[in-house]
Amino acid sequence: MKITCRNVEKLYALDGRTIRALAGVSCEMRSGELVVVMGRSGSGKTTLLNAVGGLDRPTAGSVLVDGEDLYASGDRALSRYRNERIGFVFQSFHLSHDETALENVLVPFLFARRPPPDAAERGRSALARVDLGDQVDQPAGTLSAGQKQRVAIARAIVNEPEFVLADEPTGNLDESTGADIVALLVGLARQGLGVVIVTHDPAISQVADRVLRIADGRIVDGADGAGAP
Amino acid sequence: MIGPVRAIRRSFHNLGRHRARAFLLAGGVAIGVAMLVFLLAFVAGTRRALLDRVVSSLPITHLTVVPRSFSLSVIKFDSPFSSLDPDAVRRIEVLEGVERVMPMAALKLPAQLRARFFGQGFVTDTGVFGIDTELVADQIPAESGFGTGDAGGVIPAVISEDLIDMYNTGFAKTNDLPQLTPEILAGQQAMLFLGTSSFRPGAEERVRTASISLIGASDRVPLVGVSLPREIVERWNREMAGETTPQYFQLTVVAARAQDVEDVAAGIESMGYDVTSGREIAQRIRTLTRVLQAAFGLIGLVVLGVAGVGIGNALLLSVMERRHEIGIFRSVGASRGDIRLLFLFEAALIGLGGALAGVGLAAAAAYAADLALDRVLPDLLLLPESFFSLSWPILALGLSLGLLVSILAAVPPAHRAARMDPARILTSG
Ligand SMILES: Nc1ncnc2c1ncn2[C@@H]1O[C@H](COP(=O)(O)OP(=O)(O)O)[C@@H](O)[C@H]1O
Ligand SMILES: [Mg+2]
Repeated sequence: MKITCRNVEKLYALDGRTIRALAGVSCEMRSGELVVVMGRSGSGKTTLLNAVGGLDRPTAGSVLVDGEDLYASGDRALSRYRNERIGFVFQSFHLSHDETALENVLVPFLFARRPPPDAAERGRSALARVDLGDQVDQPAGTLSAGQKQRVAIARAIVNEPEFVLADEPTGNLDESTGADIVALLVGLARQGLGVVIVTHDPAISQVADRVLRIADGRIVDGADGAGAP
Repeated sequence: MIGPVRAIRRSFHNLGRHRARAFLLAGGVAIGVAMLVFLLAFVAGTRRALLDRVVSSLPITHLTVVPRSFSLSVIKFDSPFSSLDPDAVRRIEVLEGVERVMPMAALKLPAQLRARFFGQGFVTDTGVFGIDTELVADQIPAESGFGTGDAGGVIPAVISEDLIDMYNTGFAKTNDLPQLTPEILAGQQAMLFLGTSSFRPGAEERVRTASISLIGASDRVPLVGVSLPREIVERWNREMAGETTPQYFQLTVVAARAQDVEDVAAGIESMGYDVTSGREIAQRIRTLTRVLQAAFGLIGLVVLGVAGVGIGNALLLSVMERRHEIGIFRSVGASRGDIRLLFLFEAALIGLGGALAGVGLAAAAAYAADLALDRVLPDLLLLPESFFSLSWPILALGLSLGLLVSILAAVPPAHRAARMDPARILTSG
């Protein structure tokens, strides 16, 4: 799978001013590749990730998925894209604390077109892949921060997506826990998934196949030659 | 796409996670539905009781006919041109749609009743009336002898149910006497002294006596006195009061079919009589209770509406509380429609649960109210067994309104949830 951004622009209206979060971004991301997106706070990293993930419609430009314009279709198709081909990981985990690790991991199947009959089994094996095979029935609220982010990764991969998009996944973790999480994500890329990690931790860029630098809504480096300025 | 099955399952799951709120909201619906159902069932029950009562004392095919009366301020006259005699009976009998005419006669002499109840002597002035046996044929068993005018060698007599009620709630209470029932009274013997009263004692030699036996009670006979087969009273009037042509104070006219009643009534009215029909009274009761039902229904609706606003607000709050969950759902593939569906199903389940509880509550309250009324109200024969009628239409109305209000209340919050921007929710900390 290949995701291509073509002159993606995103404007926000804030207090009567217009903020240009993305000012014409063009770039490319592929399965099996680990891309690290770096840039200062407010430079547009999250906005780019959400646009790529089908979560936030650009104001102008297009996002092509294997050549097809992602945002040409409606909410249903975008939702299906997120459900079947994308897994999101967020800085603040976003788990239901009163539900078990497994229940959290199974949420994507709630919205699957055809939930597999062995959904629970898949949930368990996703948790095993993030080394939480023994925490399946723990309420998410009782887990440590690192474990919570692992549950979030298990939730992101349970549907066997082609891309995992992680927005500052280590932002709420200490250094060594963060390193474990990064290692997990690297492992996913080695297994053939496309992995995009947004961060401003320079250490993480060490493991990247490619580093994409962004400033003021523009890519300044690493766009993989697909029309960078 | 979540689909209804998973949506319902997830909604159940969510209600379990937020039990306190679910109970609170369902409680609001329950109270509204309970009030609505309770009030409507009360009106329906009252209507049924009133109609039963009217239909029993004056079935819808029956009309009562009395001489037209003119009232000049407080004084009432019977019109001299509308006397009820056998000739009038004949003229009414031949009217189209009339099946039978049953006259009521009164004894033209004073009379006293002497009896022993519970070992106690008992004397009272009484009215004596003659009625057609057909009038009470469905209320008094045939084997009692009322049809033949002979109850084991004595004259069979019927008294008014209302008289028993009045005796039980008045005389018996103040004099510490046992309560009477038609069953206790049945078979009681008494003596009638004809031609005498406590105001106007008759000369001994002209007073005649007759033995009567009480064989039952009816709500169709005159209130103050005993009612005997009409032929006997007419004979006494002939022999003792010199009456040549019987005069009746009231006729009961039976129409062949209910739909004939209005024409028959009009025909008799044009002959110069006053007519009351059971159908007319029943219709008046129906109209009145329908107005009551509409008013009570409105009260219930207002309560339900308030509950609906409460649900709407609480759900709106819950949408804000659960925005992270909504964001995550969207990020893993929920469409806007899916989110909307989830909130609507949740509200529907709350509404259904609340409505079911409300119906149960109403049934329990009706049962309790009947028990309480039974204790407070005197033991009247005319009181119904239950003041409530929990019919299927009322139950269905309560259930569907509870459900509908909940779903409608959830529309704005569900819409709000569906329109939330997941990108913003998930990345703002
Ligand atoms: N929903 C929004 N409304 C208004 N402005 C926004 C919104 N989301 C992001 N922005 C603005 O867009 C710019 C880029 O934001 P973002 O993509 O989150 O940057 P980053 O992730 O690199 O910190 C920032 O100036 C931010 O304030
Ligand atoms: Mg960001």
